[in-house]
Amino acid sequence: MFYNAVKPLNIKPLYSANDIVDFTLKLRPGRAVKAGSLRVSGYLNIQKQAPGSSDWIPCTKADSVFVSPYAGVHSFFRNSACSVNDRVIEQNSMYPRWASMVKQSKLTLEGINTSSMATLELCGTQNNVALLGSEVAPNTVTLPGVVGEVISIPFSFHPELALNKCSGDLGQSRFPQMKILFNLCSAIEALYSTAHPDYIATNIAALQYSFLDLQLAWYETVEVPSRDPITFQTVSLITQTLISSNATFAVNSPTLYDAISMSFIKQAHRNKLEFDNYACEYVPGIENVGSRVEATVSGNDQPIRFPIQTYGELALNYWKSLAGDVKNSVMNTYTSQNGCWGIGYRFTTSINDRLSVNVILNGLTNPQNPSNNPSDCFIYVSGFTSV
Amino acid sequence: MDSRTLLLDPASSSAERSYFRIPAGMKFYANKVRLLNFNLLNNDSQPIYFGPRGIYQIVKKISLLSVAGSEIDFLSNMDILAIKMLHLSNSSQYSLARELMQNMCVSVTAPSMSQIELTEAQGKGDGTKIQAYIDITFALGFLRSSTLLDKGYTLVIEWEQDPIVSGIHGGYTFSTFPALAIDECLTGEPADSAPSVMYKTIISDRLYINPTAATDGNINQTQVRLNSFYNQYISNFFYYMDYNCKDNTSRNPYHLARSAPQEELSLLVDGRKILMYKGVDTSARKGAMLHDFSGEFCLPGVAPYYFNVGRTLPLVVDPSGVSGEWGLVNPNTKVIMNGVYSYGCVKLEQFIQIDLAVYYNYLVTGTPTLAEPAYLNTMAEVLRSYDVQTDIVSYVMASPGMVNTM
Repeated sequence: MFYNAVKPLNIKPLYSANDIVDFTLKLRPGRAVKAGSLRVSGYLNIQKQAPGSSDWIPCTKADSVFVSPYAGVHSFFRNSACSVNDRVIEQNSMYPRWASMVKQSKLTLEGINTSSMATLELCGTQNNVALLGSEVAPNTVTLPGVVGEVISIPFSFHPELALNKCSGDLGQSRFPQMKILFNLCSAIEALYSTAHPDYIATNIAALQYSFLDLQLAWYETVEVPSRDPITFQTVSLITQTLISSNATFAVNSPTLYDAISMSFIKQAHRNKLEFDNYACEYVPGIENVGSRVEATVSGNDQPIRFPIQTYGELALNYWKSLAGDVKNSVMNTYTSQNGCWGIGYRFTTSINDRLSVNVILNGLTNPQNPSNNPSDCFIYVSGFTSV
Repeated sequence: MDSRTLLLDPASSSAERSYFRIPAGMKFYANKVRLLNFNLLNNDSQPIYFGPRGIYQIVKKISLLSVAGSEIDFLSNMDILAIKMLHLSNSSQYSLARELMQNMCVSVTAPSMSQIELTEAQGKGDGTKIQAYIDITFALGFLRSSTLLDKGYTLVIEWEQDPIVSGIHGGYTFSTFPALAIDECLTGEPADSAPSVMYKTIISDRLYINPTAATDGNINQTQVRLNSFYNQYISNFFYYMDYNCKDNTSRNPYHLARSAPQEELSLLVDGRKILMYKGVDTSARKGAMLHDFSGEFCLPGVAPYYFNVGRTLPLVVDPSGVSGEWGLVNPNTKVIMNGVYSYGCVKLEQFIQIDLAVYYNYLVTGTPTLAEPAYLNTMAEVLRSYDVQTDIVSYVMASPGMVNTM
C-alpha cells in the first residue's frame, strides 16, 4: 500500500473559470494504481461583485449562493477527458451533469446531506454555508482583485471517470502513462442563487471562484502481472433538444453500450444565476392520455417491449440505466419532481445499434408545452472499452 | 444452524468490573456475544445522553481471557467503536444506532430541498429509559475472526466509574447487573479447529501536545516517535485531536473528536515518509482517507468534520444558554455539530521494522495555557495471533530478512 499524488501539469497558484486542469499519472516500475482510488482535492473559494463595483468580495449567507446539491464540487469541472498510453478512452463534455445523475441514483436527499460519499464533495442542500468557507488556505490570505481575507472550503471528490471505473488495478507495465484533463466552467454555470430576484438585482452582479492547492491523489499497490484485459466503463454525451410534444432522440455510439440515461433542463434555465444549471428537470405530461415513452433499437427491436406510460416505470428504468443503489433520489416522487428526473434504459447485453427514444407528450399547454418552452436533452451513453 | 440463546449471569460483578465465564465445551457463535437485560440509572436522577461512543462510554476495558488466563483480546479505547458506529447509513443511525448503541445523534431528515434537521428530539431516547445493549463481538477482533468457539473463556468488563470520563454526572448504577447472552450451537457443526487465529487489536496511545509551544497565529508542531510498534504489523492508524482549539480547553465530557485549523498529519515508517506532499493536510483529505480505508460514514454535512464551517456567520443569541454559533444543535447534549466528529485514518498495511513517527501540526488560535493540555489520541490496528494449543498471544512479526521498500 503506497500513496501517490500529483499537482496539475500546468501548475498555477489558483485555477478559475475556463482554466485547464490536467493531471498526468506516472508510476514507478512494479506498481499499480488501485482500481477506483483516484481523488481530486483542494480548496474552493467564491466571491461576488456587487452592482457598480469592481471589487470582488466574499459572499454572505443572505446571497444564498449554492452549487448543485447532487453535483457538489463536480459542478466546476465542465469537460473531462481521460487517456491511457496516449489513447483517449473517454470524453465527457458535460461532466457535472453526469456526476449529478450518478449521485441521484445512489443517494437520497438525506443521503447527500450525510454520506461521506457526498458531503466531502460539497454536495447537500446546505452547501451555501460550506461555500462561505471554513479556513484560510495556507499562504493564500489574499487573492488578486479580492477585498478582504479569502476563506476557502476544502473538498475531495471521487471523479466519475473511466479511469476511476476499471475492472482491475492499473499496472505500470501496461499503463505507463495515464492522463486526466478537466476544463473548468464559468461561475455562472456552476453557481446559482436562491435569493429573491430583487435581492440579486441589488447585491449580486457577478460571481467568481477559484481553486487552490489542487491535486490528484491515488493509492498504489504492487503490480501483479496479468494478461487479462482491463475494462473501463465509459460514458459519452449526445446533446439534443426537446422542442415538440412528439420528439425522437436518436442515439448512435462509436462503441458498444449497455445503457443510456437522459436528463433535461429548460433552455431558459441554463446558465442563469437563478437556476441550478445541472438540475435534471421534470418533464410533465407523461401520464396524460395518449402520452408515452418508447425505445426502438435499429427501428424494430425494443429494450422494453411496451411503451412506458407512468412515471413509476420510467423512474425504475432510469434508475436501472444508472446502476443505482436501493436508496436513491430517482425513485422518489418529491425528489424526482425537484431536479432528479430522467429517462433511461439498461440493456441485458451490450449493443452497438442505432437506438431511438420516442417521447410523446399529450395535453400540455403553455408554458409546459416543449414547443413553447424547449428543453435541452443530455443523453449519456454508458459503454465500455477494454485495453 | 439451530441455536438457543443462553443468558449467563456474571460470575462476579461490582461497580468496577463484571466477570463472565463461558464454560469449556459449550459451542457458541462468536459473531453474537453481547451484554443485555439491564438498565442504567443516573445517581443524580438526571437523564443520560452519551457522546459519539454511545453506551460504550461507560466501559473502560473489555477483555477476553482463555481458561488458563491469557488475555486473548482486549479493547481499552472505545473511540474506535465511535468511528465504527458512524459507518451506519443515515436511516440506520436513526432507527438502529441511536436506540441500540445510544451514540449521539448524527442522522437528519430533510423536510424540503433547503432544510435539514437532526432527528434527535428533546427529552427522548434518554439512556435511563432504554434497555442497554453492549455488543462484545463489535468490540473484539478475535470474536469477529472466529466462527464457532468451544474452548471456554472468561470475559471481563471494566466499568468506567470516573464521571468525567463516563460523562454521567453523579455517576451511574445498573438496575440489575448485565447478563451475557451467547447463542449456543445445537447442531453438529465442528468448532473452530485452526491452531492459531489472526486478528486485529486496537493499540491506543495519547500523545501529549504542548499547547503553548506556539503562539496565536503560528503553527504548533509536534513530532513523536513511537518505538513500541517495533516489528508489528499495523493495518489502519486512526487518530483525533482531543483539544478544543476554538476555546483552548481540554474539557471533553462527550469525547468529541475535535477538528483543528490547518491540521496536518504525516507518518514516517522506519524513517520513510509515506504520505505525499504535506500529508493529511486538509479536513477533506482527512475525511476522504477515513472514507476510503474505514468505509463510508454518516455525518450531517461537512460542518461536524471540518473546522469552523459557518465562521463568517454572526453569532445568534440563544436563550437556552447554548452558544449561538451556526450549526445543528443536539437538543439533549447541547453539542453544536461543528468540528466535533473529526476522526482521521491512514492505512499503513505494513510492518514497522524500526519505528513509527507521527508529525502533527495545527494553527494556534487564541491564548492556550499549560493548564489545558492538548492530546492527539491514536489507535493503531495491530495484527496479533493467538496460538490455541500453547495459549500464547503474540504480535504477528515480519519474517527475518524482510525489508520495507518504497
